[in-house]
Amino acid sequence: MRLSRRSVLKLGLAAPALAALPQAFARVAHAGRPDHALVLLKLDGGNDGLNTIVPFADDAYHRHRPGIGIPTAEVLRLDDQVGLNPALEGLRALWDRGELAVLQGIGYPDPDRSHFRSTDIWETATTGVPERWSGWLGRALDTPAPAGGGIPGLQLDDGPLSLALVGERVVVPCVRDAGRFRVDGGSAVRERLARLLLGPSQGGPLLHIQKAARQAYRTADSLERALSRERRAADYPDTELARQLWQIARLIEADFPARVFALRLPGFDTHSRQRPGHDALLRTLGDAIGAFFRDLRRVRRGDRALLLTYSEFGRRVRENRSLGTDHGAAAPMLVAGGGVRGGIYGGHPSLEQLEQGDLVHHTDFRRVYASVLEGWLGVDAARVLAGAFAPLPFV
Amino acid sequence: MRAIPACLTLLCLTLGFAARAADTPAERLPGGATAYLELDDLAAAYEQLRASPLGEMLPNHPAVEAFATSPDGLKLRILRGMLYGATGQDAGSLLRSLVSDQAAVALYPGSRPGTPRWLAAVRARGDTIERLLLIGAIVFQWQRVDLVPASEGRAAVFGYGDKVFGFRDGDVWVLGSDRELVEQALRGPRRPLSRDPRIRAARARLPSAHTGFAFLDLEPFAARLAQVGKPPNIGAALLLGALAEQAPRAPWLALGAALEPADADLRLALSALIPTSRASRTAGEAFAGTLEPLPFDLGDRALGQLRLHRDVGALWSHRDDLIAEAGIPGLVTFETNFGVITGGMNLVEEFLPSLVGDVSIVATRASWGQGPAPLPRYPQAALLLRIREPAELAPRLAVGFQTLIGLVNANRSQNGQKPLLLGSETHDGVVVHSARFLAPTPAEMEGLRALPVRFNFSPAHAVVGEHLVLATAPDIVRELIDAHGTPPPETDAVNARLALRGSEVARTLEENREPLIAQNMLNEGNSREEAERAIGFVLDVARYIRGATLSHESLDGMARIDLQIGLGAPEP
Amino acid sequence: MSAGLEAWVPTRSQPWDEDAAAHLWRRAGFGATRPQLERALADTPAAAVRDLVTGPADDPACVELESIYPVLLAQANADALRSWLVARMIRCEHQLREKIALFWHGHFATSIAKVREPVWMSRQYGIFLERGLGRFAELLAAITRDPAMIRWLDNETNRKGQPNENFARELFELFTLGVGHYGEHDVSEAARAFTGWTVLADRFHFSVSSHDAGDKTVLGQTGPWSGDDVLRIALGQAACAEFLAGKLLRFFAHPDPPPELTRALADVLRDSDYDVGRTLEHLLRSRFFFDLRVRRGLVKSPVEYAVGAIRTLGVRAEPAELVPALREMGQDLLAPPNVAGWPGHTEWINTATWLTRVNTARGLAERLAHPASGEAGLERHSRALLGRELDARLRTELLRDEPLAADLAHGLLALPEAHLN
Repeated sequence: MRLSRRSVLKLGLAAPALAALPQAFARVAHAGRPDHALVLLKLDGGNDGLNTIVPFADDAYHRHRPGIGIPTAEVLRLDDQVGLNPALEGLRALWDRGELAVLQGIGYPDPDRSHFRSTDIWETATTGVPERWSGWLGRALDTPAPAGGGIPGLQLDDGPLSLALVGERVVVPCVRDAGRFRVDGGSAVRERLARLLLGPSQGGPLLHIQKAARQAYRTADSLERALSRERRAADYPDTELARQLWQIARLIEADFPARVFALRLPGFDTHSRQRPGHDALLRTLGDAIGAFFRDLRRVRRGDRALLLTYSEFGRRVRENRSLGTDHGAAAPMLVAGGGVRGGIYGGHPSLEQLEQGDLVHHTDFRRVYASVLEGWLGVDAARVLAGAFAPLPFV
Repeated sequence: MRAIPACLTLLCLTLGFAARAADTPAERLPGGATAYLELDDLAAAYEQLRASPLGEMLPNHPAVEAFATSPDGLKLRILRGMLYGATGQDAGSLLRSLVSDQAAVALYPGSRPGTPRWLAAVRARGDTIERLLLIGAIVFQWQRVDLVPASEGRAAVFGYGDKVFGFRDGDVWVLGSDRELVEQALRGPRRPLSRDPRIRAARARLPSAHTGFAFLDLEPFAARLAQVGKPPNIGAALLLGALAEQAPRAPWLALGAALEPADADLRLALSALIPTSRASRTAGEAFAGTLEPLPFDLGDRALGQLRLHRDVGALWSHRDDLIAEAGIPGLVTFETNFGVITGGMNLVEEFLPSLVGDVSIVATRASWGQGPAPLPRYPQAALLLRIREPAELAPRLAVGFQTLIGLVNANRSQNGQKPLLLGSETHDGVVVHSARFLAPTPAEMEGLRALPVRFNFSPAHAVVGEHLVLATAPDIVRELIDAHGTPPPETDAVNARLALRGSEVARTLEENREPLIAQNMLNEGNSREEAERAIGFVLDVARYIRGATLSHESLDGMARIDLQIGLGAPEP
Repeated sequence: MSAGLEAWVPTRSQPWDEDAAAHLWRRAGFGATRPQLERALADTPAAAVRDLVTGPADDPACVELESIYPVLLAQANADALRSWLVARMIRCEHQLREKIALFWHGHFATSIAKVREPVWMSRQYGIFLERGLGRFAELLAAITRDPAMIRWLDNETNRKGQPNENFARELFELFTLGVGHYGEHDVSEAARAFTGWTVLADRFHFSVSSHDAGDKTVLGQTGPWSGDDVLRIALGQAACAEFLAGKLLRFFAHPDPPPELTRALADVLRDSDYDVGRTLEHLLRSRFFFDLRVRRGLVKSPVEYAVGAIRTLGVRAEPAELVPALREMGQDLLAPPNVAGWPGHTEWINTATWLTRVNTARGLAERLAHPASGEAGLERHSRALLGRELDARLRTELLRDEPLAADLAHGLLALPEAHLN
């Protein structure tokens, strides 16, 4: 069953007409449900796509990477062409359940190899000079304004705020720890302040403030209770990423209003001695994501979160002399979650026809964004992306 | 609220003391305490401090006078007035009569967590304690009851409500929160605290002439201490060394303090001691051993020195055990970048194994002569690493330094910041590579009374003798070249040592008076006058500090940390 | 609302009282200290407004702060410079100057996130302090030559043959005219006029070789225009005065000002040759401004909220500590979210920023210079903070369980009303 579906999906990318049907169905099924959460995870530094989703069947891969290539025998095969880096063992269960989509050959024309510039392109979703200093999710969250002034999204680290979340109107908070959303002094102080909101509502700005304040005290209360459920943390690996995902799971469990959660996993700029470090990062990634969705399923929220990874660029096909890889271009993206149609989307880009030694993309990254915006968040993608991009059928 | 007078009484009591005869107050305390504090000759220490130049300066300092008229100062005066009214003594003589010879106080586990029982024994002259108890009785309406009448050779036990129990035996007073403990003390405990093997072991390893001794049982805190994470980055791991692993696992902690005359000055010595038997092997291997003499003698020029005996290679290979997980990606990036910068030199296989011995950082005051100087004016610092084959590594390191500056420049230009210019010179036969900022443009200097802060940094590099030197300015590299070859007299065999020269620290602070005032105004919301007074006080006190050293050494099964501060008259 | 720009004359039913004076100082400054309030009430409203526009003859607290500015510039630390700005707002007597500078900072919203040089950012803010109440034409000319602005809107890369339209677009859209009063063609033509306006050695530099000296047609006028010509042409548009008048009204008076009032204020701007101080004087003494429905009709920005609490309640403030708090509340000085500035009004308050507001308030309430509790404390603090007394229900709720002075002040600061300006 799984095999046949995957082959259909592969076709889907080549023939957008075929893809339109499931896509339309998906939109009717659950597009724009207000309880859909997007977890956006940046693999910071430029993730090496070729050692993440390994094209083991291609001789060129092993030829280009005699020192750091993953031996065919170790690859966790997804089909007869590509497989996961063995460090991503943690994602296997998701794949087997059909809840992991691998999008291959994603990129944009004229790839920029500067970390900063390329990150700007990915996060603003514009390839030219950005007209506005705002990000694709920031614009998506701008309208409609969240009810009661709730928290539209959340970035869990020390900042600075990802450009992807910068809106023209919304302010997305950025905290290392979601536990920061509390009234200092504890529940006694919070309850005392909440009682002060009992006054009459007169409309206008005062009404807005009263609503926001009430919502804030409710949020702080539900967060405090959600984050005090320490016991389930034991099922997660002992990593920062896992701790953050555990918090997000608790927020989703508590019906926290945020629709977008942003995270960063740094360290992917692997110019030398790549294997040990990169494998460790992938293990951190796979194990944490695996634990996250196991946890969400257990609390019956498995279909509420969609996790999307991106990185500013992939890496050069040929390994360098320091057993590392330099900045490249096209790369795969991973999408996981109960609402995802698992499978491999798009063929692996050719390892023979390269541009400046880099893989050539065949699918614009904004098509992925369009799929998430329309299919998952229920936002008009054309408005956010300032142009029409055909969605992929993975949601 | 009730806790305050109890604590006050306790505090006063612990400041009091007695003879070194067999029957010392400490002998009265039974074993089993979780915390124990003993003070000896505190009155003498207090007098010494008062008679020192710093002690003479403090009461007359304008900042202290200003404090006296502030609301907080007023509260203090009221408190002193109350004490005078009750005891008929001013604060100084009250302290002297309480703080005579010896006092000991101990905390014992209580029936509920967080409510320990306490017991104190002091030798005090006159009726000061009696009077203080009277204040407590009046303010808190405790009623005094005689519980056990005096019998042959035994003192009477009294109680103040159910708050304080005690007895007086000659000039020794014993007071406690628990009647049973007090009665044990009256009978004379079968196993007094002073014979606790842990306390005896600690005393044996602390300087004998201590003014204060404290012991803390860490077992009750074991669960909380176990949560203390690994150091977040390699800098912290290097600095803390084995202590990062040992301290959170220590079963107990002992502290000693002494104030002693040293030449014309006073020396304040503090020591901390923890058992290390449970330290892991990993840390032991990477950090054990003692410092070698450093073959550079900067003499009076030295402002400070931090020296650590560390095997960086071992630290690197055990990094997963020694550094918090969040710090690891940074190291991976560093390892990668190191290869790029040095043109392919492998950090783990080539560079780290070539390091021998110690990691040292030395600092001196930057001299700007008559020319323009930046503000704030930072000291210049140099990192020194001894390397095995200096002749072979030197050219590769020089290339690495230049590449690094190139990368820094690329990054700076991407951010629209001023670049650094590379250069090199030969000083006494040693090639010094450095990079400096171009002189500021007239437009940049508009409205500035000093050079921008970046002029403190002029990264420099050289290989001096067997040492790789990385510095914040070429001046200090030249100073090090001049000072090379003569190890300064340094006899103590310790594992890590931080030394500061007071006069140079004071001068550095003085040079930065203006930025410190600005910072104080913005941090505290002070007016300029208030800020000048506050900073003036800090600077004036700093001038009385001759110097400070902090060192760490491993004794058999124990780790000891010593802090010594020298106090004396300021240099003219 | 029928009231217009005519000067307000206090009446028996609407007197020149504490509430009116406090309103004036909340809008034209960051709240009045007790002595300032008393001084204002001893005078007429017109004279009080005049004082706010001209400023006091001497301002020792401000002079003191300016004495440390050269050191802070050398230090080039963005947060130190931010805390210096906050300290100014707290302590400088000439409150309208500080307030208008903050207005222009939001109008010409430039962010250190891209400019990177704290000193450049600080110098740009210096232009707002120095010229904020002067003629808009001079302010605009200075800002167009400001290195931070040039970098912020990419004019460094605006060269003959390869124009970068970023500055020209924002000049029309956000600085002078507003959407709908210019076309795409005007943007691209104006961009050519600003070619060669760049930065060299930390200062504005006009590069003749990069400048496109050819004819341009901007807003219907054709000629070999330079950047200054474009500024002149923009200022000559009818839309410019209305655009600016609308922004001033939304910041100082009302979130949604009536169109006829905007037009009237635009006339004042034009007639005074864009003299911002005189225009504000008209607005601040007008009947419209003092209308009861205008009072407390805006939402306080984080700066207005925190600095206002400090000034009115008498808090022993620590400016450096406020900087991160303001950032969390959504107003990171020197780093507005984008070129359109802070959205303002109700957008200031959402779940996250509300929590940071009440947590910041806790810290402020604990540092009252003269804490007072009980009925008397409530009376004193509520008058100082809100300009009036509270209804019985709130009084009962606030005094429940005999709160300490700090808890009482914290409760007051957490009232939604305390967040209205």
